[in-house]
Amino acid sequence: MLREIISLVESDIKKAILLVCLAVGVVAISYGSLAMAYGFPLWLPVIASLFVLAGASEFMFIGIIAGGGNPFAAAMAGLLVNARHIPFGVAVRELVGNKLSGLIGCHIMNDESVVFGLAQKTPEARRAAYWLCGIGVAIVWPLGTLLGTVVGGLLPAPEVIGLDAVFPAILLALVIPALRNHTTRIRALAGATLALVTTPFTPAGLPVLLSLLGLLARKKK
Amino acid sequence: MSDTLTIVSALALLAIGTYLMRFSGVKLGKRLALSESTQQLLNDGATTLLFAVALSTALFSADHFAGYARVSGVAVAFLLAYKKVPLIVVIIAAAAVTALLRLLGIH
Repeated sequence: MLREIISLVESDIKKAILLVCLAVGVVAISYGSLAMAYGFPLWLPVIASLFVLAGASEFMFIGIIAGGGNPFAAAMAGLLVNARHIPFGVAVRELVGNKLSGLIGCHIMNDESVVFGLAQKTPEARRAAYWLCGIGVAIVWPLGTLLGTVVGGLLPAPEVIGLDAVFPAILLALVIPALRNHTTRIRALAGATLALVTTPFTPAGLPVLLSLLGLLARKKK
Repeated sequence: MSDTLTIVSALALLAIGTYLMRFSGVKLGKRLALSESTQQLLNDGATTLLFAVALSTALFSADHFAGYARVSGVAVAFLLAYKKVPLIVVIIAAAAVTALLRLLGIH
């Protein structure tokens, strides 16, 4: 099945997905290493990587607990960060598959798999790109985390090689075609502006949800 | 730090809650009878979210400014992508510009 998926993804997209997975792997190593530095048992970040599979919320979860915060408060903060998966789920409803594969298809939903999926032209290519990126991240994230808990200290921080710029860059690059539509562009700009303005004084995750209010924006008649 | 059982329970809450959000979005999407304009609205919603995530992670680390190195790397990547340069070049340029600026002491 994986071979079929791979054959349906354009070669340029395939290479880009591979690079994104590599970047995810390096961030995962630093995440595993950070969890060790905080004093968590080795299995904890690995289990979190496997079952949460949403990096930003996991960093937040271990960070809050390590700082002495209540673990349930940390979980709620993580859930707020992950709430955008509800509208993401609506958007990729045709890509996740049905029945059993649909259950896995939901779990591999993240910013990258969603954007790679939605950016393709045909339904087959959309599904294939979503799955290739989703499975890639679902493998690399836990493996990298495990590696990081063991040898994390030996590698440079992701920031040193500029990897923190890779994730926003790929998201932007892949939404550009959709932004060529006038109404879409007005809505996205209005929403993103609202998210940026509210970021300094709202809890993480909320600004991005507020961006959906940008959908109310329309072209002036 | 809290005891292990509390942490594991909280982690289970985070994992199950996150999964349910992914799952319920898909279920909701499949259930809605969609007109063409609603579909366009939903697609714009996804684009808006992804665009907002992109700009937020380009400009902020937590709630403070991410620094000129990252912003410049992402800006260069955006221009290249706008010019329809292959994606791998866009990705490598983002990382390279950011890393180089940091090497030069610009943060």
